[in-house]
Amino acid sequence: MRTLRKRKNRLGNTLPLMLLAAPGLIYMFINNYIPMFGIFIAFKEIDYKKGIFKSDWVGFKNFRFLFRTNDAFIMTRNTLLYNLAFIVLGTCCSLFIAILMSEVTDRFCSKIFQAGLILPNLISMVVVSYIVYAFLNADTGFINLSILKPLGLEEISWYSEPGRWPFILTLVHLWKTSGYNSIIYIAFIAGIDKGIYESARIDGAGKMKQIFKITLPLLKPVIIIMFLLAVGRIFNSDFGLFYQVPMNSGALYSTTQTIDTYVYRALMQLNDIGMSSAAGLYQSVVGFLLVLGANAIVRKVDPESALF
Amino acid sequence: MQKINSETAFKIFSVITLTILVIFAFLPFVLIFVTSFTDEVFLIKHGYSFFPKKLSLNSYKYLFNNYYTILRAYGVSVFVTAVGTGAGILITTMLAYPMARKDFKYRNILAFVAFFTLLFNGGIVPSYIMWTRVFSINNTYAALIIPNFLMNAFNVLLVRNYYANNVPGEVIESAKIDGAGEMRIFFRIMLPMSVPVVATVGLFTGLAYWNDWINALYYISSPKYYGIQNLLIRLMNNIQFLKSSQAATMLAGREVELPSTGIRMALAVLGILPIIILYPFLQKYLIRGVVMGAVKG
Amino acid sequence: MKAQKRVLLFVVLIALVVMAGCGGKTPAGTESGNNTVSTGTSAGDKASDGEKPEKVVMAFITFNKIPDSMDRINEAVSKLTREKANVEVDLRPYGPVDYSQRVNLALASQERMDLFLPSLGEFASYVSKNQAYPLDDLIEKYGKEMTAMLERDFGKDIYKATTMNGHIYAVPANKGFAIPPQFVYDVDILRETGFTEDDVNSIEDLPKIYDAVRNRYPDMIPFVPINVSPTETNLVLYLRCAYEIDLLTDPSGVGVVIGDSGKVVNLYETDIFKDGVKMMREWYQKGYLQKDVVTTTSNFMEMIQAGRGFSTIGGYSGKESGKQLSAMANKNIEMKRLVPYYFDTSAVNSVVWMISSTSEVPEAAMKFLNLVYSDKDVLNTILWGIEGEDYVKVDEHHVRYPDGKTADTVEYTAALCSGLMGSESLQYVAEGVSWEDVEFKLKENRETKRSPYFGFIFDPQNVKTEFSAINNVKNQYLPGLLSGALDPDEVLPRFINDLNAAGAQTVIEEKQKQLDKWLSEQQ
Repeated sequence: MRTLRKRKNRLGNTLPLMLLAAPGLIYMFINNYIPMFGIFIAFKEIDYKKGIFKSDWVGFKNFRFLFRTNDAFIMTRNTLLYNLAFIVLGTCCSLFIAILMSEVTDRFCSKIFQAGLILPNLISMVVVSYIVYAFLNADTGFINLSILKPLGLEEISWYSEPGRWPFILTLVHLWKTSGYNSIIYIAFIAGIDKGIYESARIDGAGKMKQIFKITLPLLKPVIIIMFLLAVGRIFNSDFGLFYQVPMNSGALYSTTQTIDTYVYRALMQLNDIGMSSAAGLYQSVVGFLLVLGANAIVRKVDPESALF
Repeated sequence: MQKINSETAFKIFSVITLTILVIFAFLPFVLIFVTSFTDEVFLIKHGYSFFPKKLSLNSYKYLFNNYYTILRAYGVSVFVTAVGTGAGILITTMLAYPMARKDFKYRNILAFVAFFTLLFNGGIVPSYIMWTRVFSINNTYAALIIPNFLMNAFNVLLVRNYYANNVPGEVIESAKIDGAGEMRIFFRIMLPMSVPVVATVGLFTGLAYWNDWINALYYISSPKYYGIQNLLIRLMNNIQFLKSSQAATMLAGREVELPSTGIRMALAVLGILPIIILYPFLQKYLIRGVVMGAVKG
Repeated sequence: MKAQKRVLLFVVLIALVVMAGCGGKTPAGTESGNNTVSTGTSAGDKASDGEKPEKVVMAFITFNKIPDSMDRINEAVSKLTREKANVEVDLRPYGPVDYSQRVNLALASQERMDLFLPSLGEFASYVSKNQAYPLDDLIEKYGKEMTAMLERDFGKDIYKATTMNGHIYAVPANKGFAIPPQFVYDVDILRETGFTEDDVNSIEDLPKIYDAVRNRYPDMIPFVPINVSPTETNLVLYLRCAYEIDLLTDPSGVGVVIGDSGKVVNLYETDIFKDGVKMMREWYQKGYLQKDVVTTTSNFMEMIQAGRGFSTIGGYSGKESGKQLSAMANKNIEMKRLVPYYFDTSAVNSVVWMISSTSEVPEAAMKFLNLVYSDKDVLNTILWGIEGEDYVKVDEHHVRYPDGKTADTVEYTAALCSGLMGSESLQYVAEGVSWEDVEFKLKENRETKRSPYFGFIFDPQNVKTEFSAINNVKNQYLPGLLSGALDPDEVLPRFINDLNAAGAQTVIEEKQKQLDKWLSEQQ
């Protein structure tokens, strides 16, 4: 009798919940899953007369160009290191901003700050590259002309010194995304029950203690989710940031070449969908394996926060 | 006494730090704004400057001459953003809610199914074949709204997390005891309780639609359907193309004239300005919309 | 639980494969709907014994404004072509950036796209991917007038440049193909330095003029790259023409033939290239080029408009370009030829029309193309629109926009498609442009020296992997070397080294093999 009711209960919630999920699932199936059949293009030599379905299979031939180059190591290293830096620093900056934002109680100020913080995200990378160029170019750039020169320091030719670019690109990235990403954390902080802080205050906890003992632990699940999502895309990079912002300067390849920019430059003249699919698949598979690993670890330590 | 002091001090610290950060965020935009008023010759001679010595209204005059195109593009952008964001929020939260229910059997499978879409895609060719050949959406507003942007697994997982961590399970339990169905629980209780995250997802979706130009690139051939970002990005890309190769000269049979930097910047201003001005109002409206939708449902 | 997951995944996969199959098999032509042109008028009936005219889809690149609807122009052109060949057209203008994306998607999805332009310089890859329809028979049957025009304006050997593996795969746009490197300069500045155009006869004359410009205007940059991002100084164009180098249809420059030696070599390992980049280095060090030449975003046109630039080297056909540039820049710009042009295959097969290999109406497409090349009315309706509405005739060759209208405000114009559409000698030109210039260009077509390997087309299919790696290396070093920003003594050996590591030798050998085969077939 008891088990029967339990089962009925379970069925009772499955159907309505599935109905709620249905529109989203159908959309995802059409928009994302059906086109995934295109992954097989990575293993084909496309013959347009035969059509993409009937073209010949060529095994892993399309993947070869990713490893044929001397840059294979450099681009993989750059992609990984930049992503790691972006994940760690980006999370810290966003959290920092979010915590500060949650202190601003004045409605008007809060609106102005929010609008200001998402602003950099609205500017297209091409325009960003113009702005960076305005600061850094050798002849008329702000930094050389208005800062280094008056100080009597030697001018720097920014676009030919690769050593400085990890710093510049990280700065540009943080500037562009931190404010935007902080919005997520702001939303989650807003969702925290105010009563918890109240009782902490009564217990005599100072501001810092509240942040480290209440806010951050409560944000942990969302931080972990954001981290896992970022790990999944660790072999991808923001093309505009690494291609447009360094002005495609050859002298900077050693620190600005990523897998995406390499694929773009290599295939510019070949226009081969087989090879570009292969590159995309390679990035996805690596990201997928890493995220499965990371998720497994998270599941062991803290099952509640795991992605799935 | 000391406690209050530490909190007030932190508040002051917050406002000051944020003010500085926001100024840094604003500066480049100011540069764009000033550049759109800068005399073209001065710009090439001296580069970008916050204090140009020669101003000019030429860029805006040029754009004003094309006011019809620009107004129409605003219309398209606003329509697409409004419809897409509304529909997007609805299906995103509806999918996220079951995933957050700890007593729902398939919640992990659903989460995995959603997450998987963030990693793998078949490239543009299969999507294009499907949307144009099976659904025939080219040259319709649907082409601007439906592909890619309606729902994003990232947002779904975000909302799921919010529900899972910020809405206590007891709330659902007690609603059930009161005899509320799942639909009722979702629309009456969950939505109103998730205003902050819905506003965030709404903002993300809205910005994605406002800034999108990819859908139009693939599925639209008539300028009737161009949104404001489309005008800007097309102009930018065409300029890059024209500047970077003599192909243009070969194809056109002669040198092709470039719109000036000022015009590009003026168009960028026209793309961003509405968001800055309207952002506070939109946010308020969005939140009210969520609450009202919740009460109705 | 695990097993369940697996089953679910399997079901999803099956569903995908089934759906994929369906997606692919949907019949062609679902998309043609929006631009319906009324069919079956009396004129069409007359021409073909009542057979319904076939519709041809033609996609072209336009630099002009794209109209909201092409219906009006489609109908005007179709009215002409129905009468003459019983075909109709659905014209699809795309902007330069969208174009290749749109065409490639259409070809990949087997959507209707009968006539298209392959991306510049990628003729061979379109052919080896089977995107192009072999045209030999079609030209024979339906393209006689077109062929006559092409042979008259260029020469009998025109189709050689589009013949690969024994078949003609494309029709070149019929225009002035010679684009010799020209010294493009601000004539007022030149005069102020005391020199005249007669003092410029070769590239060696330029430094002394640049010195004079520098002395008089310390702020002015004597030599500005014509294109930026990536920076292009046209040094390779100059070397090609001056030393009769055939790039063998491969812009990468790895594997070229100098003169008639028949031996494929790496351009970047030759002394010619070394001396060339050394010259640029000297120019750079003397300050003829701006310091940040590799990353600058201002091209020649912008620099000269602002009065900051003095000259460049550009490839221009005819003699009218100086006038056009002057009008755009509001300066007095003139040009002087540095060396005569040298025809290799890509000079002719860069801008070509192909018929899609999956076209269902190849005959109709050829009939239509034939009219575009040989019929003044059809061609000019596509280019200029409808007489009286979009343009007004001035005389036999000249037209202008209706009163109060400009290229920006007129309802339709594709005047900036003159380099890709039909025969230049049949096109109307804008009022004020000299008609003699067209004749001059055609004369140059016939007189310009052809490379002995004119007609050879390199197929990169077998060396795609190496080719892609080489492209990447080239992007890294070339702009810096060609503009003198990098020191050739130090960088050139590194560049060559990286090219070889990327597989340059494999590409050169493959090219030599294909060239030898081609040569043996020519006898």
